Amino acid sequence: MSLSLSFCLYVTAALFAIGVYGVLSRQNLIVILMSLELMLNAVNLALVAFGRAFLPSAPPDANGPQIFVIIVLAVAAAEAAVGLSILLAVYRKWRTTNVGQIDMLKG
Amino acid sequence: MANTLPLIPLLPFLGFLLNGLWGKRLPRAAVTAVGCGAPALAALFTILAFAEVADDGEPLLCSLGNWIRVGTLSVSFAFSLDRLSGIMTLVVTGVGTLIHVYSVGYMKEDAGYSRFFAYLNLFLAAMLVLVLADNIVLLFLGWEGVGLCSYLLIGFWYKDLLNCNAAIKAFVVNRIGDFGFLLGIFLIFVTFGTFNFADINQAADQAPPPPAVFWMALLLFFGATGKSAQIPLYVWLPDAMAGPTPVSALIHAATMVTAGIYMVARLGNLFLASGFLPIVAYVGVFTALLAAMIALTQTDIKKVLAYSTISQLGYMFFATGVGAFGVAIFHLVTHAFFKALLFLSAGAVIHSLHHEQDMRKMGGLAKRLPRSCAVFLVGALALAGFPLTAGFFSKDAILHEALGHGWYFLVTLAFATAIVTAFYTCRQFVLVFLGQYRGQEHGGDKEIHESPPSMLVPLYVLAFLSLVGGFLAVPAFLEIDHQPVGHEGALTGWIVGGLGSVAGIGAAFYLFVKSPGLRSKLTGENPVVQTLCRLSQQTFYVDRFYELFVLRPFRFVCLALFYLVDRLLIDWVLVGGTGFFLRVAASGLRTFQTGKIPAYAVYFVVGVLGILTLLLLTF
Amino acid sequence: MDAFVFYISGIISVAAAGLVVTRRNPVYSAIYLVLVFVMISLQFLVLRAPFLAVVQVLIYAGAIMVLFLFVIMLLNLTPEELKETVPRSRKYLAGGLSFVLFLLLVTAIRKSPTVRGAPNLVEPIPATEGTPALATVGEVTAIGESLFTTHALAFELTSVLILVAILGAIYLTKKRRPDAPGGITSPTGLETQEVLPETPGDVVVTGAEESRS
Repeated sequence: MSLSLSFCLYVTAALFAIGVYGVLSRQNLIVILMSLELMLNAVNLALVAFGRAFLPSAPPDANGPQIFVIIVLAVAAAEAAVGLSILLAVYRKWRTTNVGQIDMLKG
Repeated sequence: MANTLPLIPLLPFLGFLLNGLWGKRLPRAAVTAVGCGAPALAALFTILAFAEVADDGEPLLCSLGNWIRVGTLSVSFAFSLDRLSGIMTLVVTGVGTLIHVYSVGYMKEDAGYSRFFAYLNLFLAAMLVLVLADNIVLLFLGWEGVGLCSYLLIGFWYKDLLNCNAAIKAFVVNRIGDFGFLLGIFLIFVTFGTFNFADINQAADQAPPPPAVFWMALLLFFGATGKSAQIPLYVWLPDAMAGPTPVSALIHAATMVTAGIYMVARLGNLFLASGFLPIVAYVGVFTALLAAMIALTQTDIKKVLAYSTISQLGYMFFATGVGAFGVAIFHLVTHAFFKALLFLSAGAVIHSLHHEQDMRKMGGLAKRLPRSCAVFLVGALALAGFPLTAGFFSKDAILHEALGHGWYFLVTLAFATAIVTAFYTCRQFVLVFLGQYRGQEHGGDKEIHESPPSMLVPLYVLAFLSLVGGFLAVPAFLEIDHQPVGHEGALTGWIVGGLGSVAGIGAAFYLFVKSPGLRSKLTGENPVVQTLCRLSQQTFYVDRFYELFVLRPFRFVCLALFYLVDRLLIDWVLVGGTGFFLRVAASGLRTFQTGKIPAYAVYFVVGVLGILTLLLLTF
Repeated sequence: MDAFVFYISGIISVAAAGLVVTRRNPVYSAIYLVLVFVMISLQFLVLRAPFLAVVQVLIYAGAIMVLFLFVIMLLNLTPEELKETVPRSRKYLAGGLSFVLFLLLVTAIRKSPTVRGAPNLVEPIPATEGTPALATVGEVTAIGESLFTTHALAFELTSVLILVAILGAIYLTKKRRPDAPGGITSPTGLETQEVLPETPGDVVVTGAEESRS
């Protein structure tokens, strides 16, 4: 059986789109953050797929894509941590995790 | 001496600057010194320069450098004094100085004393630029300048709206003429490539003249009808009497209104070659007749003189129309003397009666204002062409030349006009100075008394000139007449002319003094007389005509523009619309600012999708 | 075989992702997200990234999701609080937008010559003379070497980033004193008081405060 790059990318696209849907349609902050992680993972997958696809003609730095993924991973982790801290702070102030109720910027 | 030429217009201009900028802070004596000193000095320089030119007729030239230089178009600030402009300049500075001196007394109690002298000096400067210019563009500069000063001085007592309207009317009507004048200048440049008078006259001499020359003459003459108050643009002059009397004397009798005649005389060759001169003659004569007829029934002392001026200007144009430029200038000079005299003495009367101008409220002033009466009489006789006065000789010269060139019809009309002129002049004299005083009696220091010497002395000078001025052989001196007729038959002309003048005076005297019963019978019962009187009083419905066919449509267009363009388009659509649009857009856009994060996320994603689409499209 | 694994795990991950975003209870969402991560880890294995596969499970499933679950349990939301009043229109809009996004991406994938020209991903890599390194792509040693030499700067910066994140997290979640600045009224009508239940973390903080005061 063969695996084409396009199929990998379709999976990536699907995951990313679902993540977008999650960000846009949910009101629970936690779920929104989780959708964000989903999107990041889709990107990671894409990176690895591209890295593997161009391996035969890869430049000297063949591990570049994967190292990129490691960095993204680290950043995602940091971002998740900070995001959740913000969530906690918000919950302390306004006793809600419902994004629809946090509208102090209303103009 | 040539190098002092620019001083002649410059000195009054400096006077204008001094009195205009600091006049209010200077003591009255200083203002007077500057205001009268400048024209006097200018007159002095004029005399010196004129002495040089009088002998050989060679013009003095002085150029102050370039004014406009664009490609082949070059105009310079060049002044030239030859015999023609010399005579004119003498008249302008001489009579001008006399009138300035007169104004010292006349405007003594006026708060705008320094402003008056400033404007008067500015006028003199502009008029001198006009007269001394050696090219037509510089002349036009002076032309416009005097128009401006006319506006400023007519509307001198600006607090009264009527005066302002009169000033605007003068300026606007002049402007219409100036438009034609400007087109004429353009045409000259396009055809001949030069603005210089000498060059133009030379170029016009070539045979056959290009057809454009006719149009040049037409356009330039149209400008002259505005400035010199001929048909169709004379209507501003009677209204211009709203200005102070010295203004009427200087600008609207002696100098500014003569600019048109000067211009035609200057470009004599051009006009001769154009074949347009017959039209000039006709316009002149008809204007003279019309204005004289209107003057017959006027009741304001200055209005009579205004229409009289229009009439006499018509005479001058008649002279140019037959090619007798020198004779026209001759009449211009004598007219300056006696018309200024008449205006100033009328001013003396008005001044003595504390600004009463209605002749129906005058009368019997010969006893109370003997000196004013005497000088007015001299002026009146000169205007009427009484034998041996200056007006007699110049008016007769015109008729003589015209007759010699075969203009029988126009000469007849002009002669009839002369009789009418004598008639209304005598009428005016009788109404003002003879009979019973019909006005108010003023007591105390409002009593009727004679004018001060500062006003009377210039009058004496002008009276003297009105008597002897006829003996100046101006046409012979100028030598610009086209095929002058010569002196044979002159004596007959004088006799006939003298008789006509006496007849006119006599008829008026009889009707107004000796037999007023006959007069009232004629005006009361004779239908012809009644119709004529009514026509005359209504200025032959010319003003009404303009009101209906020019002003009304104009006002309508203005109102239409106002309501359509200004109110509707600009205020409503553009300004209001912009505001409305902005408001709607703003409130519409404000709906995006919900403060809710999911909404912002949606916008975010929409933007991303947009970018992706763009990228894909350009892929 | 590898390709088959990829296909299966791909389908499962997409399905699980769909479940993540649609569950009301965040714990269920978290569980399904873990499933997604594991599937992705499998995919990494197929794509010759063994180290990444392990790291994926370790960090994502092991650390990040645990963090998520901690916070969920910390908040202890009641079912009413979990109720979301999302208007249908918004759901459709979101669905529409994400679908459009998906379509755009698919179009880009199908049109791109780079992608079309890519070889089969499960083919063994031909070993050529000048490129011995290609044989060990994705191995731990290779990754480590590359990470600490060629990409050392990125590595160091990432560590700084993590430090910043730690500081941020600590500062944001520190318990405030009653007279701390703030004072914005709550839209839910409750006062801004400390409402968090006792947790092991709290005890430490409180203790420190008490010892100080």
